[in-house]
This record gives sequence, structure tokens and C-alpha cells, in this order.
Amino acid sequence: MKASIERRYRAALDLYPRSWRDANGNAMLATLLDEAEVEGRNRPGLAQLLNISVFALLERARSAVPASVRDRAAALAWGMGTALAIVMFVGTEWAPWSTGRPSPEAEVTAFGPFVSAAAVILGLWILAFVVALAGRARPARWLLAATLPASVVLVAGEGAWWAALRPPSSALFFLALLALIAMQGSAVTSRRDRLRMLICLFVAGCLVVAIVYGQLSQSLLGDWSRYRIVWIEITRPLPYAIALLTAALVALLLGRFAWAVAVVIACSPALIHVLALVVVSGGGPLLVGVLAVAGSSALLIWGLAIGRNSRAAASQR
Amino acid sequence: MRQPTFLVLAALADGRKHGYALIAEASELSGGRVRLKVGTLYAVLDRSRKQGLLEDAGEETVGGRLRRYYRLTDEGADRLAVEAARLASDAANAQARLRARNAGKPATA
Repeated sequence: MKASIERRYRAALDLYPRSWRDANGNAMLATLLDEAEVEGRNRPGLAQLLNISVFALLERARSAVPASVRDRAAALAWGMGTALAIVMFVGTEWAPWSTGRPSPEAEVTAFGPFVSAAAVILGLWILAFVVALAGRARPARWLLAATLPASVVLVAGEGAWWAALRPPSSALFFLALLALIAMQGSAVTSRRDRLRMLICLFVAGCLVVAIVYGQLSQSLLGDWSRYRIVWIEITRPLPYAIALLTAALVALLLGRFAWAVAVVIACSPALIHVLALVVVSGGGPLLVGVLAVAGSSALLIWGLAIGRNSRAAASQR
Repeated sequence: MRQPTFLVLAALADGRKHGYALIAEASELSGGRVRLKVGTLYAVLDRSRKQGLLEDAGEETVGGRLRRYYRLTDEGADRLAVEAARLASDAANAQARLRARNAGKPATA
């Protein structure tokens, strides 16, 4: 009976990654057996097995994406999301700076001094970035988390006066994915972390402004009727996918593997966007080609980086 | 600081302990309200060790089982002291509010 419970616990511990098991498996098994002995149990409890399964899978997720990669991907997502939020908050949401009129057939009432309630989401992004820079990781995460239900409300409020000129759903989905990635980062504790976030913001800001000017040469600010077009252009996935995958390949060539994988993760909202377009449109040859190249590049980078990490870990043993 | 981490650090405050001893001690410290699951315990131990709050303190094999001991670091003791002071302050404030509330109530026969 003792052998049976030990075998069952060992099987449950197999859910943990091998490296974690090598480091902690025997000590954890001893604790499990100690507890079973004190409680007079001959078989593992369901709650105990469930608890082990949850933490084992979390540990697997953590080891698949190490903290160094998660933090870099989060910094990139923070930069990209905040750059979008600032450019759009100023460029399209602040109503007094928007010239022209809404289309004559639309009865549109602005959301206070803003064009739509999307200003709340963009404001939360900007505030969250400032709070994160101040080293308050948890409140910053909560502020970002708040953008998710706010986006759902905005999409559900289709037709309401405060959502009449809201960004398209695809843009809100794009921002939501960036928020989820940014929330995975750990605390911003050092000056180096802050510098990294600011550099990411600057680079992403340049990229966003370049895309806007490139796509909308006639006007960046103003003209309400262009509002939705700006959002569509600014979240068009192709420029992000190309720019970020180029950056990933450069990082790979320079041997900065953590950055290479982080860039792939940070550009995943753009790739998901491409995938959605392929599904919705039935897949034009260009989109399918872009998706194939981007997807295989991402897998190649990921594979090389994981292989390198494994070799580094093996050489340390 | 989350409650499981607080309880584990508090359990280590008076000396090194191994896995099951930490579960038993955490339960005692919480008056039996918190019974740490083993997966939770080892997640806390792993994270706290990476944060420098505790460290390994030797191993021994008892009845064929590997017992690994853990002890609090100075940094862990400092963090525990700060957290304990914060909890004590919050509790004192809550008690003061309750006293004020009760003082404002008319006495009942």
C-alpha cells in the first residue's frame, strides 16, 4: 500500500518539468508521504492531486517562458500599448483638437471632452504605465486588467452615444492582447527596468507615428470622419509583424536570444490579427504567405532559443 | 505579501524546518484555519528562495525519505518584520474603529 501511494505521487510529480523535479522532486515526495502518514491515508487525496497539477502546469508554463523572456516581452508590450494609447488619446480622442464634424447623417454626442468612452481605456493604459514606472507593479497590473472589462463594455455598447465613435473591435482586441502580455512581467524594480520600458515606449512610439504618417499622409490630427480609419490603419498587423520579426531576426543574429523570443511574443497580437483576417477573408495568397513566413520564423527563433537554453542548462550541471 | 508566504516565513522565524514541519507549523500559526497544500508550499519555497527570503539548510534521509531543511535569511527576517508590523498596525486600526463604534451605541439593558 505504501509503495502504491508513493507510485501515485511520483506519477503526479511527473507533471512538473524535469529540471524542477530534479531539484525538488524527492523533497516534495517526502513531504507528501509524511503528510499521508500523519493523516493515515493510503491513497492521494483529490484536492492534493489537483493542487499538484495546477502548480506543476504553472511551473511548466514558467519554464517554457523564462522570467527573462517574460519581462522583456512585457516591456515591449507596455511600450507598444502605451505608445498606441498616447498617440490615439491625443490624436483622436481629445475632442477639442478634432476639427471638422461627424458625418452629417450620424447623430453623435461626444463623451465629455472626448470623442468616445475609449478615452477611459487609453487613459488607463497611460496611467498604468506611469504607475509601473514608479515601481508599483501590482496596481499597474490592476489598472491594465481594468482595460479588459472596459473593452468588453465598449464593444457591447455598440450604438450607444458613448460608443458611437469607438475604435473598431479589432483595435480593442489588439490592445487587450498587449495588456495580457504586459501583465505577465514581474515588478519593475531597478533603474535598468525603467530604462528598458522607456526605450521600448520610445521605439514603439516612433513605429506607431511612422505607421500613422505613412498610411495617412493627409492628416494625423482632426477630422472626425477619419477617426475609425486611423484606428484601422494603426492596428493593421502587417507593419508590426514585419518590424517585430525583423527585430527578432536581428536579435537572433546578435545572439540576444531572450530578446528574440520576447519580440516574437510581443508581436503575437499582430500575428493573431493576421490569422483572424485570413479566417474571415477566406485567406488571400499574400496573407497566407505572410502568416506562413511569420509563423515559421517565430517557431524557428523559439526552437533555437529553447535549444540554446537547454544546452546552457546542461553545461551548468 | 500573500498569506501562505507570510506563514511559511513566520514558521521559519525560530529555526530551520523541513517540508511537513512547515505545513504543521503554518497550520498552528493560523489557529488551524490555513492548511497549506504541498504544491502551494513548494511554490512558496521556490519563489521565496529566488527572492532571497530563505535558503536551503541541509538535508537528511529519514526512513528512506529525503528531508530538506529551510531557514530564513536576514533579508527574509526583515521582510517578515515589516509585514508583521503592517498587519499589527492594520489590526490595531480596525480595533480602534470598532471600539469607537461600540462607544457610540446606547447601552442596552
